[in-house]
Amino acid sequence: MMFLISFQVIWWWYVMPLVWGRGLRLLMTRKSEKKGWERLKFWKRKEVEEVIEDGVFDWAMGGLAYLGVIVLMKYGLGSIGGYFGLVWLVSVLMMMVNLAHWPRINLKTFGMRLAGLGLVVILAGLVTWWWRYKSPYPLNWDWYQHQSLMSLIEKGKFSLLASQMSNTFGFNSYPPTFHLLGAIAQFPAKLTPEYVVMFWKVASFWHFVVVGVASFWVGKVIGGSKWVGMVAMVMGIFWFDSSVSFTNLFWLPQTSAATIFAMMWARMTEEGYRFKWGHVASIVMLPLMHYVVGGLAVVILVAVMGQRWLKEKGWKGSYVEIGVAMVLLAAIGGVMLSYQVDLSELNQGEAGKFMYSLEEKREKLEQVYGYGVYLLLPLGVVAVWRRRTLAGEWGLLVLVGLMAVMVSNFPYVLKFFTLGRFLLHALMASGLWLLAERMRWGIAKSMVVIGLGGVMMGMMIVNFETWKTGLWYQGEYTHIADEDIEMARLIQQRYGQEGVLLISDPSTQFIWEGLSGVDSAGGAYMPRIYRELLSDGLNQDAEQLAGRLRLIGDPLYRVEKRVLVISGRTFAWLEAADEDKYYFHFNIWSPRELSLNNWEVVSKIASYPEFELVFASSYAAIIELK
Amino acid sequence: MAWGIRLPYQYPVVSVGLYQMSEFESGLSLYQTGKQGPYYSLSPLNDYIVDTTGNRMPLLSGGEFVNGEYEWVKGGGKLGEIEKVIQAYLGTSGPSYEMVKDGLRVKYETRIEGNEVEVVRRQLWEKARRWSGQGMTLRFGVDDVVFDPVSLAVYSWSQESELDFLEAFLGRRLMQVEGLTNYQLLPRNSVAIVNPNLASILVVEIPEGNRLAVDREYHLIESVEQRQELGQESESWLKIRAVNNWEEIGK
Repeated sequence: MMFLISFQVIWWWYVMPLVWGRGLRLLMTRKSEKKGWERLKFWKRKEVEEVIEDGVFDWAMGGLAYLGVIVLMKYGLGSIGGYFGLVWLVSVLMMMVNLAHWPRINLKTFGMRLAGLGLVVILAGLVTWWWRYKSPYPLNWDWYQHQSLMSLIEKGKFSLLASQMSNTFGFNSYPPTFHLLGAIAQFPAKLTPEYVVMFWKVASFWHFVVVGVASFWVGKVIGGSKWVGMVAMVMGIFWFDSSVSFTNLFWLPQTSAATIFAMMWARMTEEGYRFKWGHVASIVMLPLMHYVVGGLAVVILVAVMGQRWLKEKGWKGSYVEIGVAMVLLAAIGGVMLSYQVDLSELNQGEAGKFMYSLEEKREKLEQVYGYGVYLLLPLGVVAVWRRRTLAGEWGLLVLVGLMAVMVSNFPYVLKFFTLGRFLLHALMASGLWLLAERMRWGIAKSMVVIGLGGVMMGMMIVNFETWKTGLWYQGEYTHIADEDIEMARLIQQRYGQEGVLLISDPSTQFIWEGLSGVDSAGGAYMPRIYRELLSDGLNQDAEQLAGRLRLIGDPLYRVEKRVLVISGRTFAWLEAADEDKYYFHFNIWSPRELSLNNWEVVSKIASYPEFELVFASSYAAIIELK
Repeated sequence: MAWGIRLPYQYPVVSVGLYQMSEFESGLSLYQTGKQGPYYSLSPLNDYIVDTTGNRMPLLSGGEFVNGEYEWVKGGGKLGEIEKVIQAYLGTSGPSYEMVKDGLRVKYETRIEGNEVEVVRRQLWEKARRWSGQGMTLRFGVDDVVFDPVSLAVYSWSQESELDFLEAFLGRRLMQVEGLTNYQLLPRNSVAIVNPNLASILVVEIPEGNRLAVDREYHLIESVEQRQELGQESESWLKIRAVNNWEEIGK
């Protein structure tokens, strides 16, 4: 199944949007230009990067086209029935367009590029193996909510507002673009819990590989050398930004937007890049992946594009001075504003938990990079300043701007590290290279490389341990147990039809909804009123509980049957303090078994005539409300 | 922070069945995160030696602990700390605890295999001393039911209603034993502990030749070794197995 899913992910998530985008570009290119282009260059074998030089823009354009078609169907025709069939049909047509304009690739150099990609895959595979050591299931907590949207799209539900598709989304951070591409990749597979778990493991791995490629590219353009690119790639793979941003190991809307940004940015600052209006359209994809991260990415890319456009028009002004002045002004203004405006109550108080003091931010930086960052970053600045390339100056400017944003006191600002890490790594790699290129290969240099590799590996494992240590369960680091999979399969088989509402503590219903596709009462983002009803009900008798459960619903979908799930997590949640259990920041992150006392409560509930015990194990009980 | 690497805030935590185990200021503890259950601790505050006059002396007295008259040793220096974290991640070693006080060094080391942890305690006196016995202990919770897994005899202060409740879930009737004293020697070398707030049973096993005792007043399971010896070093161990149901107790 792993290879089949790998094919699905690579083909439908990565290749087909590129094929669509390139196909559209070819179709929209004026006939005379196209003929001339082909006539002039047909004889020449091209390097693969020449062929896909604008591939990331094509990919984004293809993704936009995926989205455009479904939006037209939903808001024009009123239904998305037949969407997946249409996508397949258009894909065949686009492949034909691409094949008709297939350039001749220089296979000699293509082999070298493929070997480079192979190295990224091997390194990513090695780190993934360490990451998944004693972790059989994905450790990306958010994937359950994203999978819920993908499952809904496959069931024919779609809206540009995620909050109109699922009550898990009370806060619209993104339209379901990421989820649409994911749903296309999953089609036509049956979304069993086993399948979706495997899908996320595989998709996360390929995302990791693409992060490695993007890191290489950014490092190469900033450092002006493929060796700097290689060092940046190794850093991008080994260093896990383990707080809020999670770029390399977690496949998410924000991390996908950041990775596309990194590649677009690298392309735009590369020598030989020529501004095209089509690229302006492509970057619209970024905020459609994630409003905040993608939105800031667009601001940065528009600035780069503007400067390149002006330069092509012959403008002689200095963008660096203007840029520095703007970044400094924005940074000072932003930081001052952030300490005046209190946004901690956003997202039902969750935002307040994602506001860190400067001291905490410094600790997190050291957590990921150790003290090395204080040495390599200044050296990188020196290296870049000496070379004075466009990419280097832009990289420095953007990184300073992003760092200023991250210093501010707004909630969630560490999310911007998804963008900043690529530039930080490229600068650190440049700094390291500044030292390394002066050393001759020999025992000393080999020892330094081996030593650095060992330190990076050690830091990576310590960072993994720090992040995972609270997730111990039965000898594994995990968010879920085998029983979660088994019981999600059971409820999918029994309650897969519409009109069923799962009700449990926020963590249990969040996980089970993601695994099974059965609707829940808000998942991990269960509204406070429902949390209070469930908590009150469980703390009283079965009759009171039944009454309260009937008040819990889903404003988006009709509810005909309510199914109560009581797990060990439910009691752990119930026993938590009010300032935790009624708020979004609090989850029961690792599995819990039912204790003997818990079982007594379950038995009393199940014996009440309005309830029917459907299934019970030492892990959880599934109880229908009649 | 060690060698440029920022270490986790928590000491390495490992899993023993449904329990977690980690190092604290006063020793090692087994517990279940997120459950209102007890911390089962192995500590020099409870472990003791018996001198030749029959006096029981804790390895670390309450007064010494409160006044800080001991040092909690974080083994191996900075590199050792990093190694400890990496080994915990790989599961190649469990947590350990070491303390030093005037004239005595005590170290607890663990080896984890599946759902079982073997805890080895080593004590090293600065000068050879004569003793007649020693005890290695596991502190259990006030609500715990302590019983013999073979005879089903209960050795803790437990109400009949608790035993009724446990019968429903264990599928076995535990039996009260008449005439127990606060300090009760047990006939076997293993004993089981169950807490209604937790989802697992702990089975404690001690070496052949030692006596197993339950101190009902201080909530201690004791592995008591009685032999006259003059020496600087001694070693003792006990094994703790976390099982999820009755069938696993006998395995």
